[in-house]
Parts: sequence; C-alpha cells; structure tokens
Amino acid sequence: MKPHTAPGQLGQIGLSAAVQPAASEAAPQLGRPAAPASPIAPIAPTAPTATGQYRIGIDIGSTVAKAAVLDATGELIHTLSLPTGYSSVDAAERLAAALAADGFAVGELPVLATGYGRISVPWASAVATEITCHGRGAAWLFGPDGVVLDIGGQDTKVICLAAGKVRRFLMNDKCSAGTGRFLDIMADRLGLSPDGLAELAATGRPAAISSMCTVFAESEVISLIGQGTPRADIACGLVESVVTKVASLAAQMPGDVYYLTGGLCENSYMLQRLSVQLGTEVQSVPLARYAGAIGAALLIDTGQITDNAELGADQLVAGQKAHQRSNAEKAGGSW
Amino acid sequence: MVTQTTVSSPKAATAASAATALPDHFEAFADARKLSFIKAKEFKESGGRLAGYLCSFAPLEALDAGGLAAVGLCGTSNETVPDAETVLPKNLCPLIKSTYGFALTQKCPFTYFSDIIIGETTCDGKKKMYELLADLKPVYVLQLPQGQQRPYAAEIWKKELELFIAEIEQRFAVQIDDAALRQAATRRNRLRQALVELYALQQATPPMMSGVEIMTTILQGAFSFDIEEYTEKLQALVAEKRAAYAAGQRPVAASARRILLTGCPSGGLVQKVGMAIEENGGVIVCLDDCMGERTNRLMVDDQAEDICQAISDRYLEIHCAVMSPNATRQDNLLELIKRYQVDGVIELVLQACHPFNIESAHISTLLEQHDIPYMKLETDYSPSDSGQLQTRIAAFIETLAQ
Repeated sequence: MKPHTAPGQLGQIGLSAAVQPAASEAAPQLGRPAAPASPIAPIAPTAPTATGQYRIGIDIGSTVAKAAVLDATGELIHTLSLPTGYSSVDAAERLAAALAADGFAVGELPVLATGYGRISVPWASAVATEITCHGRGAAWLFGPDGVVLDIGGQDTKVICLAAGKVRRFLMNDKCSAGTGRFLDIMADRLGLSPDGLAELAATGRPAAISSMCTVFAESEVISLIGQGTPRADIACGLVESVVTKVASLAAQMPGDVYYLTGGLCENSYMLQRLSVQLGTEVQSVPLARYAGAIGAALLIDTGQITDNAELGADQLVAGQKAHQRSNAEKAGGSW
Repeated sequence: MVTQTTVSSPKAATAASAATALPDHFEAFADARKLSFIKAKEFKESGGRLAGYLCSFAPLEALDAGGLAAVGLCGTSNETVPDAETVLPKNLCPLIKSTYGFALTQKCPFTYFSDIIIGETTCDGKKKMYELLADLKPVYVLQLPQGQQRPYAAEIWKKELELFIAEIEQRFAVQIDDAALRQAATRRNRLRQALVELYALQQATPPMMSGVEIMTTILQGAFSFDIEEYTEKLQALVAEKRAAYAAGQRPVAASARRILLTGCPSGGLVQKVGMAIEENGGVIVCLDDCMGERTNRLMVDDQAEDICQAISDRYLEIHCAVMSPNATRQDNLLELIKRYQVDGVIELVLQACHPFNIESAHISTLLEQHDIPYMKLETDYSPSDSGQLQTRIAAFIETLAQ
C-alpha cells in the first residue's frame, strides 16, 4: 500500500460519535476482531529481488513484536507480528526467523528497531523511540496532521503531529491504568479475550469502576462479580475506565482529529467510546497496529535516529548542518 | 517547641555533645563514605566548625565570616528515603525526605558532624521538615519573605540576616563585623564567578564539557570546607577544558541536541535524567536551577556601603518558585535559552513540589509562545520510572532532531 491512501481503500474505520451512536450497530461493520498476536490481513511478500532495496522496521512491544517491510519506493510490502513473550531477545530472534522464511534476510537489510525491546535486536542497524516511530507511522497511515493515541501494552502515548513530525507528546505516568495491559488483566479476570471483552462491553451498561490502579480495579471487579453484576456491565465499566484515562491524557493535547494506533485499533467499541469522550472523530485502520514498525522502517532513510553509528557520513553531515542552521537562526531570532 | 534558636531535645543534645565521635554503624559503611567521615572528623578535631545549609537562600557570607565551613546537605539519593518515610509522609518531595533521612540514619558525614543546620522558610515541605530535623540536630531557620515585590521585603530579609548573624556570634562565641562580611562576599563572588565560567564552557558549539560532568563537579564542590581551594580547582578545570578545546578536542558530538534543565534542584537526578539525556543524543548546556545559573550568576555588591543589605538583597533576588509572583524566572529563562543556543527545555519537577509543578504551566505557555520545545518530567529519586524516563527523554531529543 501507499501512504495517505483514501480512507475507503484502507478499510478505514473512522467513527465519529455523531455518525455511529450505537456500538452494537457499528461492530458488525468492522468484521472479526483479531487476536493481537496474529497479523491482520497479512500482506503477502512479493519475491524479494536485490536485497538492498528493502528496509525493515521492528517494533518490540511489551506484548506483541511487529515487523514491517518497505520497498525502495516506500511501499509497504510485508507485515508480521508475534507475541513478545518472556524475552524480547527471543522475540527478536523469532521475528528474524519469520522474516527470513518470508524471504527477507535481516542480516543483509537495513533494520531500525523501536519499542521497549529495541535494544534487544542485535541485527538492527539503528534504534529510535516508539514515540517518533508511532508518530511517523501514523503520519504515513493517516496524514501529516492530527493527534495520535497509541494504547500500548504497558503505556499510553498521545502524540501531536504537525506536518508529519512529532510536535509534542505525552505518556501516562508509571501506571498501567489506561493501557492494553489493564484490559488484558481484566479480560483474564472475566474469562474473556481482550476483544471478547470489548464486544461484550458494547452490550452492557457501565458498572462503576473507580480505581485507576490495576490492582485495586481488579479487586473492584472481583467485588462486582461477587455481587452478581452482569459480566457485560463489568466489561462496559472496564472499557469506560480505560477510555476515561486515555481521554484525560488526550485532553491535554486538543486536536481536530485523533488517530488510534496499537493493538486496540480494530476495537470498534473502544473507538466509538473514545470518539464520544473526546467529542471528535477517532479514526483507525487495521494496519495501525503496525504504526510503530512502519514508522521505524520509514525512519531508515531520514537519519532521524539516536544511534547513528551506522548512518552514512552524508546524512550525518546534513544533520549537523541543519542543526547549526537552526541554531544560527535562533541566535539571530526575533525574541 | 517553637524556638528555632535553641534546641533542648535530648536526641539533639546527644548528637551535639558527641561532636567528634563516629556514628554507631560506621564500620558497616562503604570505604568512600568512611573516608568522608574521617575527613569531616579530622576537620572537627582540628577545631573546624561545620554548618550545613539546605538551600541557595542560605546567606553563606554570614557563616564564612563566622569562621564556619558551609557544606550543602541537600539529599540527592534515594538511599535514605525509606527510613525518612518512617516519620515523613510518602507523598513528599524526595529531596526533603532524603535530607531528613540522612540526618536520621547518620549516613551523611557532613550532616552528622555539622554543628548547626541552616534552613529557610521556603516551601511548606521544607519548613515543616525542619521542625522535625530540630529533634535530631541543632537547626536555625531564617524566615524568608514570600515575594520580592513588597517595599518591606528587602528590609525584613535584611533583619533576618542580622538576627542570623547575631545567632552565629552568640552560639559560636565569635564576632562578625562588616569587614569580615565584605571579605566573605568578595570570596563568595569569586567562587560564583568561577562557577559562571564553568557554565559558560557550554556556550561553545559544540559544548566544551559533558553537562553530567559539570553537575557532578558542582555536587562534589558542595562538600568543600575551603572555598578558596574549591574556587581554584574550578578555575583550573575551566582553564584545562578551554585549552583542550582550543587544541581541537571535542568531548561532545556536534550533533548533540542542546538541552537546558529548569525547575527543581537537579542534584538527585544526575543519573536518572542527566545521563539519560547525554546517552540519547543530547547534551546539557545550561542548568537553570539552584546549582546553576539561576543562583550563581547573582553577585553581592561587595563595595556597597551597607554590606549587610547588599548580601541580603543578593539572596532575595533568587527567583525560586517559592516566590510569588516569580516572573523574573521567565525573563531569565528566555535570556539563557538564547545565550546557550538551547534546542529544547526539560523541566524537572520533583514529586510533590507544588511550587515548581504549578509554575510549570507558566513556563510551558511561555515556551510555546516562543516556539521552544519543552517537556516536563515529574519524578523522584527511585529507579522505578527509569525506563519510562529514558524513552521520554530519547523521544524528546528525537523531536528536536527532526
């Protein structure tokens, strides 16, 4: 696929609160919610030719490890994902094997790694943070301006994009409230998959769950179960808890349009509730779970990476010149 | 007990009378700490007197003129926080907890051997902690005005300085005259000037030093008993760095993004934040905090007719967030950003520091208006959020590199 494709072609599932009031109606249109660990509509690899023309972005998240392959023209030609599991080093090895099986030999291709496990990818030629990668990936998927909401496994990020670049960002504090991990734990407690939880939530009325702390919230859930509260109502209350937390973070960075990335990108009920709470449209696409990996692959030719040891000298010099230029401008600036 | 000038609690009396004895747990300490204890013990045994200070508002000239060696005792380590939390609330500034914890556990040689600890009524957390600290050590608290703008602010702060001088004279049986104060001011100015020259190394592009190295140097300097010696060391260091730079050495990559740190005291965050900045493509070029330019650029007019007024005026000018309003901080910040060619500003807020945390809204707005990238980090001394901070800091630096 190409960047900034028209929404229809991407199967965009942008939901505005006004257009899609009822979650139960919205859900069927979105098709089957997929398990986070399996690739969504995997793109069949085209037969690789000369190795130099591909670049690979790797995003080792706390829950899911993802890869995206771009060709020389910047087209996304392959994605894959697998559970991170216990060890991010092991996840990186499994990703390498899976990529090799699909015809992409990581040792011979430029690779940029991101995510909390980015330092565990020995075959990556560079690393960058997930903020930059998600921002760049979202700009590619959705457009250069807007606010990206990334609900990740262990943290939630709000990234303000301007002209395709990260202008500002926020992350949740050291707490799993409002993250994918919160939903995972609660789904497990309710005997559901995370997507099953969201599906069921759409049919319930929110039970009050006031604790932001995952551990305390779990105690509340146990109490609600004990009181015989319907499972759908508890599920609905849990989604509401995440949505409220994410929306309060996002409210600090107002935008006309929000894009949801991360493992919940196909979760229609989550999108709908976020749209309602934020009072504006929250869009997503199935590929948005790969936003970090796509962004990582895109960064390879921009020089915007922290470990630039592997970068070409030309890029480094260009970066330094830009830096000096910007400083010179500041020194003579208006203020 | 409400007096700050006399301390009568039994615990404090014990600590004071055991003026040169080592603490009970001395043998359990690591070697570096033992050495510091021995150094402080020897200083005391040779007749030296130690005064601990906890804030840049402490008028050090009065201590110098009274023949006391002033040592900075601000806690910068998480080590004693759990002990402090047996007395103090958990939800309190880590600097306050750490400082108190070191006094409680007798783990800091300079706190342990200090003959007096000087505090000021700055933030609520500190001034109430001093009341508890007074049970452990002799403590004297100066009452700071809440702002600089009232016509009488300079007058009452000078009165506080005079009371403080009288206290030192009486407690240590010394005479502090204007000549001694003037000489102390001249020496302190020389030290301040040396620090300003150290900071100025970072105005070069690329800077002449790692910011972490500068922070570490200043932190170590807080334990100098002899300010002349410390001044000379700083001057030598500056000369050495300048010479190396002139000879072509570039210790900092030209591509490193230039970061200014503002906000709370950064001494306890050198590892967690300072190193994270410099390991992720940034360099700290300016410290707009109480160990940096915010404070040490201010000189005492040592030629002033009324030296006491000149000293107290100099300290009142410090634009810490405990002052309300504190608008001069903003003007100064903009000036520093320009002078140090800053790419981005990181504000450090220590957990539960209401003054800086709330004031950060002003700073954020101001920098937004001037289109200067800004990020606020609220943290404590524990390593629990190190991973998150690493990512935030690296991402912030990446946005500067775009």
